[in-house]
Amino acid sequence: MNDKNVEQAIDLVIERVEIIYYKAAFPKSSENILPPSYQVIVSALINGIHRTAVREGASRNRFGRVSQSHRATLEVAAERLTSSTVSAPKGELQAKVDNVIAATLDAVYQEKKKRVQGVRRFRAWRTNRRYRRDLTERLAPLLSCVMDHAEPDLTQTDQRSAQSGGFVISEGSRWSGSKAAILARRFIEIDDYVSFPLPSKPVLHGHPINEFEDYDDLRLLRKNGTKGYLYYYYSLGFGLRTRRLSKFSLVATDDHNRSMVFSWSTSQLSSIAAHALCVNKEATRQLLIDADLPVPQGRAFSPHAPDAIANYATTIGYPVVTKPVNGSKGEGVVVNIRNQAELTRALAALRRSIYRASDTIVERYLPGRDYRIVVVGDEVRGALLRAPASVRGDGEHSTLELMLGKHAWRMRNPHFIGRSAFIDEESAFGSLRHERLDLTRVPKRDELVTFGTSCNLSQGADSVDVLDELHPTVAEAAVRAVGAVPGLRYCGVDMLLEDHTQPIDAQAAGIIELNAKAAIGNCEYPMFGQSRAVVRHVFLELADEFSMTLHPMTDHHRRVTCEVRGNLRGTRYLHWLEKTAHGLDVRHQLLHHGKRQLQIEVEGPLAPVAMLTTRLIIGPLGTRPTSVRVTGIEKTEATSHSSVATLSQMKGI
Amino acid sequence: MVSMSEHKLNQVSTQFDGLLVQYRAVARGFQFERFPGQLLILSDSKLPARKSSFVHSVGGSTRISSVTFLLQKRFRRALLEMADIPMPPGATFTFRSRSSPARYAERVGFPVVVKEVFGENPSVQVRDVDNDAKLMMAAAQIRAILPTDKWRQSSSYAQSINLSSAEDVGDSLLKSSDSRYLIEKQVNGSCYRAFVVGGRVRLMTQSAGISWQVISSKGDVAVLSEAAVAAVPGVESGTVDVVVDHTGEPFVVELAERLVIPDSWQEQEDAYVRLVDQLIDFECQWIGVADRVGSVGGCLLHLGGLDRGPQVLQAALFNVVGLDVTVAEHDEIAGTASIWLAGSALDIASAIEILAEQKIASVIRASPGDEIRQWL
Repeated sequence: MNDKNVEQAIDLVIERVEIIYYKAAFPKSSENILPPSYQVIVSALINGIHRTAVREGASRNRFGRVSQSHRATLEVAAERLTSSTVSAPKGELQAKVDNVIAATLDAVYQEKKKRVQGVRRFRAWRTNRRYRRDLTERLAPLLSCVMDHAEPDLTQTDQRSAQSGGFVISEGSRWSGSKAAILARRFIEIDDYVSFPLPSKPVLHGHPINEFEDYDDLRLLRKNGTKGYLYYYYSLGFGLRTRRLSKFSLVATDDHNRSMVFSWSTSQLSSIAAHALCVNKEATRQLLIDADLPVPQGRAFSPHAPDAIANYATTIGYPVVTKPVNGSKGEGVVVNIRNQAELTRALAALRRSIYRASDTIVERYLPGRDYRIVVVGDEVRGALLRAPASVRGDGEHSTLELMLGKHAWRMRNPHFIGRSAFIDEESAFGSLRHERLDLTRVPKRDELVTFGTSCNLSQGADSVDVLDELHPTVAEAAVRAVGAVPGLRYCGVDMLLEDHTQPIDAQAAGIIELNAKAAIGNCEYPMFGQSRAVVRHVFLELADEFSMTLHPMTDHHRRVTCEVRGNLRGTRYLHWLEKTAHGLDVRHQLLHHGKRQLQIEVEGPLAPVAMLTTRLIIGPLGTRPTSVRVTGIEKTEATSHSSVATLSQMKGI
Repeated sequence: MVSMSEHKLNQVSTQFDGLLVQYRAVARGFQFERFPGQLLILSDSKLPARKSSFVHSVGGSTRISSVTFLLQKRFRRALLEMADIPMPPGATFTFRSRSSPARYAERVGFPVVVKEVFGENPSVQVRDVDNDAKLMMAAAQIRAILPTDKWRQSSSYAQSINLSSAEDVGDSLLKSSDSRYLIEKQVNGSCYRAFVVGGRVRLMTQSAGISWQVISSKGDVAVLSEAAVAAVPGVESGTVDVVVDHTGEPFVVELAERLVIPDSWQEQEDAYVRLVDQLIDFECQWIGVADRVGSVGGCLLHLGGLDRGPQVLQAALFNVVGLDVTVAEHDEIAGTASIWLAGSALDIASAIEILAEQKIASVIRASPGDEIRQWL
């Protein structure tokens, strides 16, 4: 055979598919052209050379973002494409890649079909052919990236640049540069990022980032869904019957018709007056000072007293912190103000914010690490170190790539579902614009690059469980702080400490805030370190205080009846219910189905039964369930709250 | 009892429930701390660790999640329904709904009352809606009312429990078309307002046109009012509005966590003073603060968070309350001062209200009683 006629085989491996979603954008006029809404990056290895193709998509829903269904389709296809391998002579490569694409489309179609199985509407109009055409349009940027890799011709120059730093094909035109450089241009517009496969696990303080096995189920509960799930898990676990009236409210009732009510992260443990005292940070400061607890030196000012504020800052000495008296989630807080010019800027920013009419607290800046210590009743039940958003260098990837990788992992934490680290505030990942960090720089191995100064988890900070390491004097101070506010029985105590393992009086320490609505779920789902059952202790305290009866908590099977009311849109809700129960491997039986209500019996292990009951108030798109009652069928021997020994044992578990 | 004129009192505050709690705290010689937003902490000088807190007239026995359930009228109805409390038939609709609200109103029968679903108590409402056109107008009226509207002072806790987030305000400054309103059958008859403290009715009034007259307790209304408060876990005190229709059947139409004190409370001052004293007694007993009854000739105030000089403070108090202020100490940088106020308990309470709510001071520590003056 003549060698000239034998074409050399080309080996193509799709190594990674990444998708970057951008923040919502709306046209200001009919002539206004919007930037792309997402970018697809496909990295491949072609005959040993790494190449990256980038394409952009412009699909937007009425909220200005890529729709959830579009995202789901893209991500199923991306996952399917990852690790695809093609080996073919040059002339046949295109055809082989076409086969990969066809197989991907088929897989996406089958997945979609599986998800909507039983819905007649889908079967009626979504024929295979038409759906494939829709899919091809929807996946065009992703499929184009794959096709880009089917063009293997590289010049000598191209090959050199590929080996030195990455070779990018963007919008069909080929040019040298790094992926990071392209993304850095629109960095502040990034809203979310996914990667298949996931990047290597980030590590913080010696802990690899946590993975939670129930993430795939919990993410269907959407943003803040874990709160409802945890309430259901313990309600059913303790043998309480429940009534849910919205995604964020639950009434749990015992055998003697005594009830406890939950709303968002709040329960009956604390009084409304205690909550109001915690919202007023100056009131909190005064109560902590009265209790001889460490509080940074400071005071409150009315919003129109910049001269008095400047005089005071000079008197107590820079650096200082300014914060609105009634702010929440760290909004409006400016830390480490080093001189009068920075103070003027901080006050100007406050005047532009929603806190413009609020009094302002000025206090000395303590440079310690930030902790959230969760107190339930008179005990510390959770302790988190809240570290500002950061990445650790590996000597290979740019700062931007490391950030995106960390974000991808963070978003798999159930507590952060739907809560992007790329936020609009001037903090966390969003603050890079102001700090002028070089996103394309490759940090050295183990170099820690920190973004912004916010330690608030809502603003991108990391949570690390430190409960077992907490020095007893620190825990005692947290409990005393909660005791200083009359009526406060559940609280997140925010402290600044140099070292949580050392005695509190042997270090610079200060309590900076008491949060009576501390988020439920952040100790159950810390990013790093051990999970803590804070909600369990909330239930036990409530039962104790309100004389309620709880059954012993076990993970045994639960058999419950669920009554759902509301606009259930005919059989749509029922089909969704069957699919959901099937997906969670929970046995279910329809007892009654009316126009605006249905009744089912559900049986299975506690966690999936709680997961299913949590989802009932959400339902499928287009339905509006307004009430869900869940009643246990089997009875176990009740444990009275008055049995102190038993209750103590339960709290100790 | 020395009373300010109603006109002057209206300049001090329209939130009479919190003002009354403070007035009685001064009159009864409690030491207390006061913060803006009608936040009050009563304490016992002998046992300083024991404290009882109030926000307006809502004491420590009322819990945070319970208040959310009361502010959300659909949840409030659900809790009352679970306890078999009779209410007028009602249902919620989105502002986007067109035909369903009218169909529902026809089914239950006009006239109906249109209420805000998520908002402060007693509910913002439009009454006497007796046809479809009026129903649409009433819904539009309710939709236009935003939590930030200043036509009445809002509770200091209302915004912080996501009151505003329930209503997406767009450019048009309306509630979102997805948010909901409540239609209730309007029950006509005799209207009673029962004040429940510690689970028991302590004062009952009856509507007489635009005012409320104190009456001796009406048995069935009292029983129903107590049951209504008991239906909400984590609530021991509140105000219940009951309508008894022409057949004698009572219906709960409103339930508020605050004591809803009428503007004309000074006309029946003794009754409302006794009510608030009972509230303080219940809350203090509940938390363990001892009652200290003593005569009050003046009050020592330690103020914090002052960023205006003592002249401003003196002028503010003299202009409205007519009180002379003796300034004992003042530290401009620290923003602190100690002052002595001499006057009646209501005058002193009013002065403290002005200092806190006009943001003259962010912290006020009060020690009422003539014997304190010697410390100056």
